[in-house]
Amino acid sequence: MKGRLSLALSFLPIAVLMGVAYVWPVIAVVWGSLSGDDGRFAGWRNYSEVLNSYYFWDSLLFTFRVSLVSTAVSVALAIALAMALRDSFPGKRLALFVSQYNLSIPRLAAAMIMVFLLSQTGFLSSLARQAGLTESIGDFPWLVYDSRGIGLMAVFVWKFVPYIGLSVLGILQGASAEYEQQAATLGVGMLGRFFHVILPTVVPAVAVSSILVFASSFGDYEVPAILGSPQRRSVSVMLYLKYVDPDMKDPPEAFAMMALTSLALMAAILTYRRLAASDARKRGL
Amino acid sequence: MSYLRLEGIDKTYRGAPSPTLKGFGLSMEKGEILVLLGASGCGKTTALRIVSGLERQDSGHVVLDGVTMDGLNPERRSIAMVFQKSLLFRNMTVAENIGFAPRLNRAMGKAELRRKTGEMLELLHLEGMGGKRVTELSGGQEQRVSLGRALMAQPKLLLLDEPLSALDAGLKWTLLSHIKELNARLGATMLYVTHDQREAAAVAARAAFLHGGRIARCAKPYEFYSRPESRAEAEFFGWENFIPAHRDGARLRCALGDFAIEGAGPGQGRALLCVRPEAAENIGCGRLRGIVASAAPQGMETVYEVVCGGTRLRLAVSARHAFGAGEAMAFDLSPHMMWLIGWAEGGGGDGAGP
Repeated sequence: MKGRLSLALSFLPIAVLMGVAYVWPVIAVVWGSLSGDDGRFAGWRNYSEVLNSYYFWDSLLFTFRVSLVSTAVSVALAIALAMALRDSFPGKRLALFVSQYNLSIPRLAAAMIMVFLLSQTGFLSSLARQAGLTESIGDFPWLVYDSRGIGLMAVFVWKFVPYIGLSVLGILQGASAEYEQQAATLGVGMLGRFFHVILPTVVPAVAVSSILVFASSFGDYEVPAILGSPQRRSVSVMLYLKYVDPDMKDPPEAFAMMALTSLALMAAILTYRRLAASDARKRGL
Repeated sequence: MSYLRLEGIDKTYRGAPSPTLKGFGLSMEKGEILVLLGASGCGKTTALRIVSGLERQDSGHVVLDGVTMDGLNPERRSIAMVFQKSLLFRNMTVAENIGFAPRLNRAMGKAELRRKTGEMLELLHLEGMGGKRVTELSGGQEQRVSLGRALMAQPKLLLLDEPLSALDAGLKWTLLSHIKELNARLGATMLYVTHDQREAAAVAARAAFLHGGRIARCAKPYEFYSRPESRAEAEFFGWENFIPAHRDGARLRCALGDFAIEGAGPGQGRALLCVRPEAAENIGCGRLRGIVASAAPQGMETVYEVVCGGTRLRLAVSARHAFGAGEAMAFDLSPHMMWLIGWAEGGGGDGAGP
């Protein structure tokens, strides 16, 4: 009995920490979403208002699309990058450094870099003018602060490619290389090896990292706050603006949005994981 | 003209202090199994990888069926390879693995592929297992599937890189007989790498011994056992005792005494007497006397270190006889288990008998 008590006590600090860090915020959000402006229980009213809001749905779909496209493009580019870097060649160390240095750059700085590169007064616009492709600043397309989220996607892709690329590169240089060599000696060409040998071996790692980058871009605040369009806000920006609303009318709705967004994200991730697990079972992995 | 010719192949890995292969040359005939033997790290796998195209040689040529392979990518050489690990594709069934090459290379139609896969499963004694996941197979079955997958590519040459080294002894001998059977029935030309001389004797009629980056000798496996030509070769094939000697025509003097050399030609000077550990006979009543320094029981026999005439011998003796450290042992050495080689490496040998 004494032993059990001391064992339970030894777990107490971590249990308290987990309660404060993980359980309390969920309870706070759920309680906040069910409360009115005056702090009293308001039932499903906040949820009903959010679900009937055009702006919420528009923002949710926009954020989902930006995250999905960023993840898909990042995965494709990361695999291409890893394929290019897997063999030995002169200058490989430098190439590895160049392809990974941006991992250490904060997203805030990455967003600023994209402004410098992609805005109408930025570097590319200036190059286009000097090359005679555009005549004035206004001729250059809106690539940041745009309602299609191109600037956001550019930052996410820029940040995620090395992250996914590193995990894929590790696999390509390990066991996958042996399988590829085996396929080559069986007379299978480059394309056949890529689709039938390389891709199946990197899929599990890509699945895990793509979940992480999707969730990361979906919940990101700082990049959409800097590069997003005022006409079409991402969910996290909309949430923040509602939360800090000066007349204190919207915070309960912000909590409801938080709960709904979290549920949507969890549903998306669970669906993806189930699909990946079922695929892995089919492949015998 | 030989079916496969490897000519003057040199290979030095970047940063390596010495070349792995130096003037490596080898030839083999169509339908033959040739075993490439050598100690671990002597360059056997490098040689196979160069033949397959997975590694590029610094110089020299690989010629298969009259066509120079230099510069061709592995997939264009028609040389399949079976590795030490089975490397089966885990996302495919047994049948899909076996049919992998013809399916992806579009070498045959679906019906033909199904028929040939079935035939191959039968050849490999894996009937009824085509639909199984490869994760359900035993180590021996995996390696058989790997072999079948390589043969289904219909290669001109099949390379086997220590394919049985990870298997236990019983399974190994079964698979060796399967490999011989496949060679006989399909007429496949096979270059087989191993560091196990018993495997070599079991699978091939001809073996090549790789030492110092080149083929030191090419002969029947039994000849390596009975008539080694150098100390390295003798050591590799299980000769464990090397006694400096002086030869004077048909007489040999060494620390063990004076011996007559059977069938000796003219010759004089320093020599090396090689004695196999299993040479000891007439235990307890032989003419040679030694003191046991140590004993290591190994099941049916015990390996003794015996000091005799100032030299230390390793002798494998039936476990029926039991000697402790410090005890005297009388024994003879069988002339059939002794061999004389020149002092310098590489000289031809003669039989020696007391």
